[in-house]
Amino acid sequence: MKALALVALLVYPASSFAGSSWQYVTSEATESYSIDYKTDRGQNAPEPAGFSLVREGEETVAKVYYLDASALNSYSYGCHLHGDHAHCHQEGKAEHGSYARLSSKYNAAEMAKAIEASLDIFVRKVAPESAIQSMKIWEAEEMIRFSIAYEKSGPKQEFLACHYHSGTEMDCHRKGNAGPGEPDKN
Amino acid sequence: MKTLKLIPLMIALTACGGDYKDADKSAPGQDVSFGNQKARVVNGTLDVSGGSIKGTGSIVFDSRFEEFKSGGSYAVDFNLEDGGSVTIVSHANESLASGFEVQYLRQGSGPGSLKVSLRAQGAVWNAVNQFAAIDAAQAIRIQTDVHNDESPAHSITWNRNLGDDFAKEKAILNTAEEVDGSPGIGTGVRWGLILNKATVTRADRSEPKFED
Repeated sequence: MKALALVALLVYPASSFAGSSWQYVTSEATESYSIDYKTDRGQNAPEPAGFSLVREGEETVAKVYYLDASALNSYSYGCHLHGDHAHCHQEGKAEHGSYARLSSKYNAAEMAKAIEASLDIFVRKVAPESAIQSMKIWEAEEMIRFSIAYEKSGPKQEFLACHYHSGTEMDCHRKGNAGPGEPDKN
Repeated sequence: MKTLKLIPLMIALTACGGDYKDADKSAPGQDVSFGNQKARVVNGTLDVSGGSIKGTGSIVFDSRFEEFKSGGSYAVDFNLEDGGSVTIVSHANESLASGFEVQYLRQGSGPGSLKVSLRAQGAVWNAVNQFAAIDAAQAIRIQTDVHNDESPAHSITWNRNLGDDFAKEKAILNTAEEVDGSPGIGTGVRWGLILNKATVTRADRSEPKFED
């Protein structure tokens, strides 16, 4: 039994963010947000306006942004990886002031899906996935936007914009700046 | 005196382009055939014969896109004199203006002698080292996709001298993977080539080789 547990730890170390770990965290945080919002307000949660994912040791802190009228609010979660899924627990709620979503073409599942496409380019052209410290995801001008903070001979920033092209595959492009509409920018 | 009067007339006839002593030389406005394609010379003087287009000038092909929000792929084979260039102009107007341009310019010989620039909507993006392995003094065989239904257009280029595998991973330039690697879009439905001291032996348009 101990041997099985050891094998599981070797195969799925909690601190490893290989593969689509950022995607797992995003999906699980979205699920938790939907439940928590309904519990708090008695109605279905609005579609997330974006995400902030920050790696803090073994944990990833995920903020799920949503619009309450014209104000940007968020639920925060501490998330841990367990194999090919994540467990998230709520760590708080916050208000971030007024915010205007610049387009609403994509839902949370599509934003999570775009993580894989953006990381495909990031890993091949920029740095290994293990260099990523945080990422922010939002939508503007019918593009899913990524701002990725990473470490490579000092702190650096990478920007990508993703969209559907010819079907259901996400197509991402590297950008020179974050573009418009970044939520909770500070 | 009569001879003197005839000289301006002879000059005028020649300038109007109505009488070419060299049948292979094509001037602006002249319809030409290249393989089984029909085309028209836009400017300059090009030698369109024997399966090649040679010289300095531009040519617009008759085949066109149904709308400017569309994609195409270009197989272009060419040789460049030193300082010469071939520019693929995609999604342009009939004068080859307002298009998405991919220019291949030879500067010297040996690896690194092929300089590639993309232009559209007044902006330019220069490739840095993507084409460094190519010797521009040798025959070049390029396949270039232009997905003008994205904004900015997404362009992918393969070196057909290395094979005909048009997978994304085999591309030597994928503008999506370069920071702001595409300058914009073309706004027309025509395509053609701009030659400068160059010889083109193949210029075919097809559907995009790579679709996301």
